[in-house]
Amino acid sequence: MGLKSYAIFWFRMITYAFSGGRNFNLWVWFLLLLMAPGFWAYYHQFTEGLIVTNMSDQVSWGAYIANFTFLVGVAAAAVLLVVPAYVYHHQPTKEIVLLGELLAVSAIFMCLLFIMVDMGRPDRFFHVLPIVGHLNFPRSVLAWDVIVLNGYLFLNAHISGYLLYMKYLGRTPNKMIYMPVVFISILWAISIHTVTAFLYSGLGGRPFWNTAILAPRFLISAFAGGPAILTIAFRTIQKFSKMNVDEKVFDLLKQIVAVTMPINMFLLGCELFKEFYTDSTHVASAKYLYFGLHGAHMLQPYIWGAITMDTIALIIFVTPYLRRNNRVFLIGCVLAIVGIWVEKGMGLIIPGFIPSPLGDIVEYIPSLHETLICIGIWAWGGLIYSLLARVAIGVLTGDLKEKTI
Amino acid sequence: MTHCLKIFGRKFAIMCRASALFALLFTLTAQAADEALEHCTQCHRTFSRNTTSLETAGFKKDHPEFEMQHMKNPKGCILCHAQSSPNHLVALDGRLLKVDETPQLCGQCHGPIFFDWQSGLHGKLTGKGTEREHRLLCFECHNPHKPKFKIMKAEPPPARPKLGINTRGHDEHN
Amino acid sequence: MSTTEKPRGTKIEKMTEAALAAPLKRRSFLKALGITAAAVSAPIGTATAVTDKLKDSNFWETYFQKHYKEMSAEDKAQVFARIERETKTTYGVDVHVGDQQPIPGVKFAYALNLSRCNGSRRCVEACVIENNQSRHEPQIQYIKVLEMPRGTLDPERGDLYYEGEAVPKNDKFYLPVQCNHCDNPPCTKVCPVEATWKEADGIVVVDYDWCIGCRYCQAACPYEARHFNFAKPNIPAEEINPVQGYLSNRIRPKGVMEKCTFCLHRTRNGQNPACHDACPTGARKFGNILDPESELSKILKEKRVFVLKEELNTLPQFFYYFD
Repeated sequence: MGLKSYAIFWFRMITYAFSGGRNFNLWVWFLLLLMAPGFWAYYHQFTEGLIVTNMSDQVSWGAYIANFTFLVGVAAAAVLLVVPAYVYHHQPTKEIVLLGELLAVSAIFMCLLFIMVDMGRPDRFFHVLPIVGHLNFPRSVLAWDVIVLNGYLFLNAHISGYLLYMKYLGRTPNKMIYMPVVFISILWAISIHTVTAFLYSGLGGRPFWNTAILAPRFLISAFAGGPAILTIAFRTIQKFSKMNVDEKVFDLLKQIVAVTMPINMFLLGCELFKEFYTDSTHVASAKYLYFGLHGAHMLQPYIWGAITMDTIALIIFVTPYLRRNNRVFLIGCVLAIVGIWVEKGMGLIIPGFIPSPLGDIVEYIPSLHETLICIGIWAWGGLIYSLLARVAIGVLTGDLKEKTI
Repeated sequence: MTHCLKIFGRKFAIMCRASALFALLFTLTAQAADEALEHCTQCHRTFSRNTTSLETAGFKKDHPEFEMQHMKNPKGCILCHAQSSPNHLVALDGRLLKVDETPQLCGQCHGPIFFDWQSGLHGKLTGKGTEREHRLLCFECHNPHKPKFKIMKAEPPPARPKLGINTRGHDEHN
Repeated sequence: MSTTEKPRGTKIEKMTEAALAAPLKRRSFLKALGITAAAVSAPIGTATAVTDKLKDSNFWETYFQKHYKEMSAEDKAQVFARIERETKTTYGVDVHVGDQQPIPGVKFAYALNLSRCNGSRRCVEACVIENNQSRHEPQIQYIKVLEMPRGTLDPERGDLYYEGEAVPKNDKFYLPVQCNHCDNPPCTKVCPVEATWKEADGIVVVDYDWCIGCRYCQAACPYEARHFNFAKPNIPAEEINPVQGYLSNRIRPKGVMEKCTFCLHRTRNGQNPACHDACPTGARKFGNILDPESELSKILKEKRVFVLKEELNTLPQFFYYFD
């Protein structure tokens, strides 16, 4: 133990991460290629201002915050592996739970990046820090979000870091060091997505968001989309690395989505009923989204596409015959991810702004700069996860362990 | 405006512009209060005839810009103008009113507005805080013979958004 | 944790092996060079932009500037001097940035007579000039005038973009909306860094040098009163109003929020806001709601006033009435 050994661990992790053979290097280069235009676009945005985006006074949040919202859900979904692994001691999940936690770490990293690119003054980001700056806690929900997101990042980094280091050293981890943190992280995972939902649902001036059902919808869609992402990630890991992911893990994920996806669609149905049956003036935003408003209908194809994808995914997830077929299930996962991403991102953030509080209809579709930056951040997150997963798999399979002289 | 800019600086120039806009509303009777009716006495010792018709001989020739659009059935000039004293106005009970007592005349019919004007709620008061310039009299904003507020041209609308149905070239859909 | 050796993903690997086995050494070298150049040039571009900014001493002063409420008198003097310096360098104009304090016993409110507004938008114009707002890209206007059909107060039925060759039009009335300086403001509640707050005299202000530009306040405001500087403001130098206040109309930087401040650089000196003085019909009334003799108090007592979106309980201090 000791600092020297820890430093060596870091050095070896980094060298191991980048020595992954031809396939892995190609993948890394591909991601770097996707990141480059993002940097170029961000350079423009940093110098010229957010005017390079298509955001406006009326639609003040766009693709960045939409992706941020979706990724907070992905981060929260790690809890679906943590609970079976640590609370119910489900052995197959226990073996790969670290990979789920590292996915949460990468997702939070992407969330923080999306916030940074969305800020008008990223050079002033330290204003949100409690002592150096001035954090409006507890009144501002965004202040809560800053605390819970960074806390969650720290919690997951601590757990994964500690367990990996212990495995690397070949020692048994001390339950007192990581189990309390695990239990905190379970509750914390729920809180990150609830607080993010509260960002929206607490605003009286935005009737499309000002609904109690928003936080439950966020959580359920995270728990429907999360296992889908985990399935794809683990299938990739199974195919391209030495790590073996037990089929029982995939069975668990299938069982989860078989419950959460129907609930997700049910809650969507509840929202639609309340909007269209009541038919008050507040229905304008939902009308805009699904049917167009006064001739404005930019988002219509997207939301109906998302609902179609969600429905097909739902059918796949609940039908045992279809669910059993791994290939079909994978297709369902892709459909669910895209559908939920659209529904939660563009289908939730943008309509909240249309029509504006004074009845103005200003539409939004991401600009070229926004699209490139979003792709760049997704690629960066993918890169981080690839590197972290590679190191974790190396440690877990025994490929990377302390060299005892 | 540019003249004001050079001599008095921007702050004054802005005030000049605001006042100039305001002055646009002044119609043909935009004069200082005490001079408003004085020019009548240049030609009239009394008003010899009470008339409701603008076709009366000589009237149009001597008052070419005059327009009458006040009251549905105008009751004649001497309803308001004192026949015996051209530089006075006359109340319904026969009292002669000086020009700076015009609000009392208009207030005979426009009671609620008169009360509002007295509290400062009608019309505009400029000036600092509780010190006000003199309260503007009725005819300083309204032409007494054609009092309805002038139709004016509005400043241009705000810039159109980049995306959606309200971009330049689209019709409004409201 | 038990792991087993697994056969690798052979199919993909075989394909990649085959594709790359061909003798393309020079081409792949150039390819790699090209990718590296692209991947490196953009970060270098960003880095250059960042280092340029870092060399600017004004930037460092702003960077370490405290929150307005925590600044001492010397801090403030330094900040105002910096702003005046920057304005002089950028626009060539001498300005004076003041720090007018709230007057004790004063709480400002606004009343607007909807029977008198004729939709001339003179208030919008005067406000833009008085408060040094960006004229285009982005165009910032604190006041929005809605042309409403009779029979409704629903802003969605109103038209913001009306052309006015001759206003007022017969079958319409006009509803100007600006910051209501609410007594229960949703915008100040949500700001994560408390860059916006309600002052003692009721005015909701923004510290433009503290705002991080997250735009949460803009999402929270039910009256569209908050405006964002999407780019560096475009103001013609000859139209700059040199009488400025730190919390009101000093020229704002890129990436921060701004809004109507009831012209506090004027109103805290006993004048009226620019919109009030510009209104050609006298529809606007401004004053101290705590003074029983002010026009405001008389209007609230005698006229039947209402506010917009009362159900949101924002307690606006901008009252409307019909005469």
